[in-house]
Amino acid sequence: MTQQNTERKFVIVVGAGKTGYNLTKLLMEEGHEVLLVEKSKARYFELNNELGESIFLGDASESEVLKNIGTNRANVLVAVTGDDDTNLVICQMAKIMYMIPRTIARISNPKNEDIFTALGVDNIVNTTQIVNSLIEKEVDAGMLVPVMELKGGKVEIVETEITSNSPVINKQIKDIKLPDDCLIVSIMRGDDVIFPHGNTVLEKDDTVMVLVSKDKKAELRKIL
Amino acid sequence: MRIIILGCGRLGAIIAKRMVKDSKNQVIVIDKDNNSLAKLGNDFSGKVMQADGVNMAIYSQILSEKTDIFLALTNIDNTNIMAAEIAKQKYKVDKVIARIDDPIRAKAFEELGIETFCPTTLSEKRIIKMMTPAKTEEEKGD
Repeated sequence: MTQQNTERKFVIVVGAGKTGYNLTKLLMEEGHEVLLVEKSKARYFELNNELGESIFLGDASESEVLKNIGTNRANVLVAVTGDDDTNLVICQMAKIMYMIPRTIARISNPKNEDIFTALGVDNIVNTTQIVNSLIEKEVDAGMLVPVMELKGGKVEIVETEITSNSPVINKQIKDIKLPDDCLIVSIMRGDDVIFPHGNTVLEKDDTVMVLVSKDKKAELRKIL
Repeated sequence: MRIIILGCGRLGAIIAKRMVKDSKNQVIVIDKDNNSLAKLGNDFSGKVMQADGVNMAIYSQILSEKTDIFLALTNIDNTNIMAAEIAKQKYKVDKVIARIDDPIRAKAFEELGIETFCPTTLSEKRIIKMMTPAKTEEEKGD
């Protein structure tokens, strides 16, 4: 079953840290052609026995190296070194010089996300942000459950249940003082979905979906 | 003019010192190493900042004010490229120049609209010239 479902891709992974190493193994198991590029000799020799020809010793931000590893025929390049600037430059060079269809970069400093997107990196894995939002999810449990992030996390759709001690129970929406940048988009009541109006009344056990900007979440939580 | 120089090695320091001589210039020098900044000396009349050039946060501080020239002169190509791109794309600084030691990389980013110079290529040309006996009039020029 699995053999025929995907076309085999050539993926270049840059940086043989834990992420790069495990990603390489995973992709290989899935039958892709993978080349892991590592610039530290020590790390290279550590993994060389196991990975053999699938690991290459060199600095992928050097144009010579990109050429030698056959970047021109790669389908995807993933840069997961520990340095944001290195990851950015490698992805850009792969794009400019070899027109690689898809580049993915890991970033550690969440503030860099915008600029990476603006500079043409296709996908960004923002490790710090992911861990942070997991922690927030944990904290939010039972209160505002994130459903979807929009605009890179600036705006969110959250879900919350109206409990019996909620101050908004049996109130019309127009009488609830919601913060700015906050909109109740739908209400799930039993099997029904309600498209709310100003005079819709919130009842106990309603699940309310709210579109809210990130910095207004705390205010929203107090109100509901 | 407001001039920001990232990287206070020999090159960064020498340019910073030269730029402050003109009293109309406001010069800000950034380096992650305090010892490098010390190269500028106590009488340096510009501003110095100890900060890492790959940290976006510093740019929102210093580049939000209109800047005429941004020079990325550290000895790390990737840092220079990223800093230059931030200055150019995000903060629309008029003139952005980056030092890139790898000639091919320099050419690639030149195509993306960043002015680059490559010490390797410049040295190469110079050395070749020094090894070749002067032939024509114009070569004697410099």
